Amino acid sequence: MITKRIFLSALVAAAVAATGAVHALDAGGVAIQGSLSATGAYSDKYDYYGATGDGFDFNVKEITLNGTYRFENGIRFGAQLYAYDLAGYKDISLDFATIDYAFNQQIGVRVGRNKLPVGLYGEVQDLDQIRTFASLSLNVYPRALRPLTAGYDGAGLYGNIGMGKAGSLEYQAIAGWLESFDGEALYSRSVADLTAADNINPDTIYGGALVWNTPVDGLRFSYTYTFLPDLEMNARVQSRAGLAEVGSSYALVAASIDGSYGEGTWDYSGMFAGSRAITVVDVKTHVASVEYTREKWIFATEYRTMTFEGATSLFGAAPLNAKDSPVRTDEEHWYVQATYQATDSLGLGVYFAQSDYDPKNQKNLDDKFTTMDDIAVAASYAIGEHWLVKVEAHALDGLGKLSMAGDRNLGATDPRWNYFVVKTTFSF
Amino acid sequence: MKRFLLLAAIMLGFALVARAQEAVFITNTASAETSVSADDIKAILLGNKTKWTGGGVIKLIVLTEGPVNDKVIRDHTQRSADQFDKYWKKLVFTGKGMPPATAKTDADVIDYVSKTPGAFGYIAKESATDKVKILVIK
Repeated sequence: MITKRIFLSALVAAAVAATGAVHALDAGGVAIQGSLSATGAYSDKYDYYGATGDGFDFNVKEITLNGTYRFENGIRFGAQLYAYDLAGYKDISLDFATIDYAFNQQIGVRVGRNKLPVGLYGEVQDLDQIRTFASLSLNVYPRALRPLTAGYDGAGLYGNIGMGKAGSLEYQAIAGWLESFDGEALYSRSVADLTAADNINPDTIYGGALVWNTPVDGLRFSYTYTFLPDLEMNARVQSRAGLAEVGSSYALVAASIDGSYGEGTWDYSGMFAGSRAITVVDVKTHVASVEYTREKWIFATEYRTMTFEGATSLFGAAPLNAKDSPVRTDEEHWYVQATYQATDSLGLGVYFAQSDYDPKNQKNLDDKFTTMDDIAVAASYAIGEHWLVKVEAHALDGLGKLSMAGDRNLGATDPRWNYFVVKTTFSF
Repeated sequence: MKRFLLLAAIMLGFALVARAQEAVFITNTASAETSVSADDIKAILLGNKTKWTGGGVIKLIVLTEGPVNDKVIRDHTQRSADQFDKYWKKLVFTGKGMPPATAKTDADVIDYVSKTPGAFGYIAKESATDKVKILVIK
């Protein structure tokens, strides 16, 4: 942790020093670019990616440093460090470190740690400089899912195929592995209920992206698919205190067991609290997208489905003591968005998004606990060439995945809430 | 008569502005390339084509401002200059491209291209000198 803090401080110092440069720095042929961001958020009701329900919370800090070098034979090496503090979870990650060679325009190969194509904007989810909104659609691109959506270690084929009057087709095909992450990661915290995750171990990943740049200027269609077979979550059943802390409905079961078999049975008998639970699921994500750019306008819409399907040794997933019970959860999301670059400095945007975390009504819960609608408006203002300031307001309806980043809003029942974001970014 | 003169002056003004925005594509004088297609120009500007047909890496330099830049980017990539800048940021920050060299003036572009084998850039037609080779658009 101390090493991380030192490294984070060094990155901050380097980034601040480098922001004095007018253009990308050139260090012996290595083009260096980067950014430094701070985000604050406030909600009138709930904690969401931080302690936003208590007041304004500086909940996200990010630093990106990027270097690219191209050899005379065309081989290119690019690497990026991404250090962040997201709702209290700090990490320094090697965002990508890619060796890239294009045989020609139609076929190229990338090897190393590469960015993962998910939807139109998944690869640039951390890149504030290119969009009007401070946040991508909150539910279609949840930041808590970053460990599963940001990058992979492996290889990818890519290319751009001209199709004459039919436009052109860009493709990517990828295969590799994802890094494991610990129980403190936001996603791990978000799934804590009867159990708390020790770690989550994705295994391999396969996927691809197709983008059709149509003959209509500015109009493109995109489809991306990722498949993570055998994602494993190692977890332990929580103590009664842990169940109460996360607001698990199993707190009642634990109390009942202690009532029937004696106080402390749940925590200390070894049959309940502390017992291991292993869940293994296949994760499939499909995203279909359309984007249309016309002069100062950009319109985009995306539809995303996500399926987790597999089995768990968790006794609570079925009648007590059943082993390897099947598990399946589905999610559906879509949004439509418009942005307008009003002046060289001022950009405006609006989107409407809907999410359904139980589209097949399997959870027997009121819809307000399994859905979330989000109307967002944003303004982005460039103060000079290197400094952006953004403000954003969300009117939300629904409590589905309110705990996406591990925030606990025990007793939350009012589906209508608002969320405000302010973000500033220096880039160089 | 006055109206006729005013109209003529306006038309002459438009013609001069149009001529000032007329661009040529240039490369290093040592390059074997003599021409590029419109598809090639688009592919080079968007980072999809990174090698010359005859071999060697294409080293792109772009203007960062001015009417010539706006026109070239709009006509050949169907993007505004701002969108083009964001497009390249997207490539660079995802490991998919080497950022192009940048220049504020035609003279800076000519200086870079004249000293850099494999370079490719664009300038206003009237700025061209014999330090660089003008490519014919096929």
